[in-house]
Amino acid sequence: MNQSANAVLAKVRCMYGKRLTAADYQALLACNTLQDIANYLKTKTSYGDIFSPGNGTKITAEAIELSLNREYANRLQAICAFEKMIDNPFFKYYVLKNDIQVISSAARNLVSTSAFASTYIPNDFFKKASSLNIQKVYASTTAQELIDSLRHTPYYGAAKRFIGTDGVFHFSQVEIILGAFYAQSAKEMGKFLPEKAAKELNEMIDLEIDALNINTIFRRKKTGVSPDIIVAGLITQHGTLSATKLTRLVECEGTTDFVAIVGKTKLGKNFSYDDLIYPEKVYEKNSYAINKHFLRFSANANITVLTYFNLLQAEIKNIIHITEGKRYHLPEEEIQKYLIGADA
Amino acid sequence: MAIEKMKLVRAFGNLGELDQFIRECCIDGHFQPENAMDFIPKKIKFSPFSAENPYTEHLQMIEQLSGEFGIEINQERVTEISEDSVDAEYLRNFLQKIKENFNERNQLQKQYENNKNLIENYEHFTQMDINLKDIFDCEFTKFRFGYLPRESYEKLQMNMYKDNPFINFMKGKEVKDGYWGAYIVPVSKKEEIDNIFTKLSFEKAFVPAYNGNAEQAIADTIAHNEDIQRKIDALTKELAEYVHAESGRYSELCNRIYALNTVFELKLNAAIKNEEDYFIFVGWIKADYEETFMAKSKMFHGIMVECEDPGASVIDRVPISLKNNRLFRPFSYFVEMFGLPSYTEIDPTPLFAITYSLMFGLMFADLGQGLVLILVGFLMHKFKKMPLGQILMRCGIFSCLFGAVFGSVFGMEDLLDGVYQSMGINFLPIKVFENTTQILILAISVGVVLMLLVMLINIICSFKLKRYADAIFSANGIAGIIAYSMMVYLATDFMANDELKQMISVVNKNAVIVLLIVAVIMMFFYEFAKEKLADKSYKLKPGSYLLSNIIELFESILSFFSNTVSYLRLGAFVLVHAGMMMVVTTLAGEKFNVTFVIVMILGNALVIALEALLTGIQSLRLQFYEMFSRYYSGQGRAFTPVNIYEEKD
Repeated sequence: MNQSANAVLAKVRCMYGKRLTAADYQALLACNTLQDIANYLKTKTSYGDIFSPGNGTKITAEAIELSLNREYANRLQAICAFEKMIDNPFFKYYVLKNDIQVISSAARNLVSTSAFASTYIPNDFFKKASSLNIQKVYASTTAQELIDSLRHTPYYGAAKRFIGTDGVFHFSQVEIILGAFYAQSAKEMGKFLPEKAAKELNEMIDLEIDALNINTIFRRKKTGVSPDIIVAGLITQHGTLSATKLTRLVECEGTTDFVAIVGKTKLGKNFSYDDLIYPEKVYEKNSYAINKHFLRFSANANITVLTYFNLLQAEIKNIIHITEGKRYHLPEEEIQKYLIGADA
Repeated sequence: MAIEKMKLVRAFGNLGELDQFIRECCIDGHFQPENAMDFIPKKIKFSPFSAENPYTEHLQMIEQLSGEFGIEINQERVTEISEDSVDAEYLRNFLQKIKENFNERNQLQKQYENNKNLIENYEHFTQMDINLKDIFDCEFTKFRFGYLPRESYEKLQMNMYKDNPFINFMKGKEVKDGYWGAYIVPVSKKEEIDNIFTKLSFEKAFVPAYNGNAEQAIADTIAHNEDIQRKIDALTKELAEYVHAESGRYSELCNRIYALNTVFELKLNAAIKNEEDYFIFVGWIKADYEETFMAKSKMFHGIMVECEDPGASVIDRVPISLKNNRLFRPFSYFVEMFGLPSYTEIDPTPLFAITYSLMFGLMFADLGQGLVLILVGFLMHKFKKMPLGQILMRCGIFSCLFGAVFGSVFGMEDLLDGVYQSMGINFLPIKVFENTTQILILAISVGVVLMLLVMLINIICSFKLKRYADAIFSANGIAGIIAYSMMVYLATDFMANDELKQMISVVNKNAVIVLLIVAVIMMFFYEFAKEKLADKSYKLKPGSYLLSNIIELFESILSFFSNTVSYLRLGAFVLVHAGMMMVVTTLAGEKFNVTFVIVMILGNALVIALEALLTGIQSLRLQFYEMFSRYYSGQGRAFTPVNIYEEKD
């Protein structure tokens, strides 16, 4: 490892050391109002003075979420800018993820105008590093406009399949297409890494794909889509779940069977029936476990940085769950069901 | 040089005269009250005096004036006190006036702060040249002023809301993470648009209507605030002038109330017999004040006063007032730190003064540095009135004496050689590093002498108090002193050179050993002797007695050794002091130049500060632990007479 990589490694491990502890989560859960949560984050955690100046008269859940996401983006920007400066090409992985998020967000806006408020806007670094014309992408009002805005970008080939053979644009299909593209492109980034690190990266990407497939199956089965259509819309060339296993998941009857089949896969280690409170938890729990493992044991700086940001994202999601829970006056035990890694 | 004799005063009489009696006889710094109920036999039916304090309201008002409003009292000597002199109405009016002033100022201050917040809010919108009154007067549209985060503004820039013409944010001031500005919404679309902006984390700002733009509003508000500030300043000045004008009268009144309150609280110590309106009042005075007190009390025909020596039943309650001459008096500061002697103990202050100064002087032996200590002590006493100042002066004298003996003047050990030679004194000065062993032997010898002395004092005191078991059988009694002396003899015989051995060989060694054994056996039976003398029917339980007292005996004998060895520190610190000064003189060099002078001054200053502290602490430790533990308990309580007439600082 060269010196710059060592420096980054040391920095992220230090930043990870400032993560929220079980005691912090307990304290946040014990807060009565959003103002209390904001004060606690400001005074007792590394989030410090992240909140907008504003009036300071009322803290809203949206304001807290916005500030936390901004903090995530700032930290990521700082690391990526450094990686670019030292000519480490792995920063392009984050640019890829960022672009996928922009395209996905734009696609969501096509099906729901109420999603505008939660549109993802990248920060200056990613705006410059991206090959997308973000203004044009978000200005799209139809699927064709969206596809056209991606012309002359690496995403055009995949985007052309956004409109299905039936001529209809389905957002869920966009997720699958983008997921497959992401998996392919991200795995190619492994060429910038040593063999062991590339394997670790592939393991993380496969986990994401498995989770995406399981989410798709769970949601589509709930809405009564026919098994053939579900199977046709899954990513089979990536992930650890074989086509056979995926078909079994599609064809199973009832949630108990579903959980039993998942339980026999790699994902089953960190998943139980109670986690079906929302299906994304399959990914989040497994992601937390694998990222924590690699953060501690990976010798590669790029992988360590990646795992740090994944864990940071999990932490931010936990805080957002708590703020949302407090906003809707849910009891502590109920909110705790949504938290990942809060007892570590 | 002793504990002052005290007299127990009992006053009996008509309850109606109690107040006057207390005011005339008991509050001038000679009388310490006691709870009368503790001095009345239980069979006599008396009850404690109780009444409502008539000065509670006054004290609360004074407390409020002081605590809430910061009105201070000039502590003054009270010349006369009578209940007629308390003007409660004046106090109430004084408090009311101050309260009104404070309330008015608080309100103005709140207004001032509100205006400041308004200015802050207006400042966000100075770039928008809009008449605020006009826009708030609009009937069909509403203006929303506030803050929009940068990310949300960018979402608006992405034209996502291009189908909705009402989603339009007018930028005002730009700050780090967003923009201040406004959006306009038609009344019919108010809810929908407000909802969208809420989702975009828009924070509303309170901007009141004003007939002009934001800049004009700011200027106007600033002018208003200046006006408010002038009013606040005027009120402050008015209050200060009023308080200043009334301070004399107010302070006098307060001091009188405090004095009357003290008299009332003294009264609560009395015991009364309700049916007969009869009181008993008890306290202490010094014996030499008895005549004056009795003369004063004669003016009360309805009150009978008795003064008597404290009896056995109250001897433990006698308060203590030490009486020492000017030479020893400053050292009572340390004695009081340990604890005042009880009435039947001796006052250790004179012995403490002499031995402490000797030990300090021995460890801090330097003529020049001793003079510095005297000077510093004098300055501390003169300007800061610190009790340590006088102690330091006395210790400094002994430091000079021992410094002269060791020939050390600011660490230079050759300066006095010539002086002694010219006087024909060959054995002085004693060079420290040439007589190391002798100095350590001297230290141990001092320890032995002091140990024997304090044991002797304990024996005398115990006999005086008729504590025969302590006097004869204890480790600090006759048995202890014999055992210790014999052990010292045997140790000396073991370690001495031939010359010394021959000198002490006049004493029969076998006799010494026999005496030692007898003394140890006596010490072993100390507990038995004590119990038997207190209770003739006491029976010894051999098993448990053996078990517990063997260990006690072992501990006592070990303490002889450890306490004696502890005095080695006297010699050790002599060497430390000399060693430190040797370092300083070595650093300073031999040539007399500027460097020499600077190093010597700084080095001496450092050593004086360090060594004075260390030596003081070590001497104190030897006193408290090695000496006091053998003859002194310090269980007394101080004599604290009530004096409302004294000058307060």
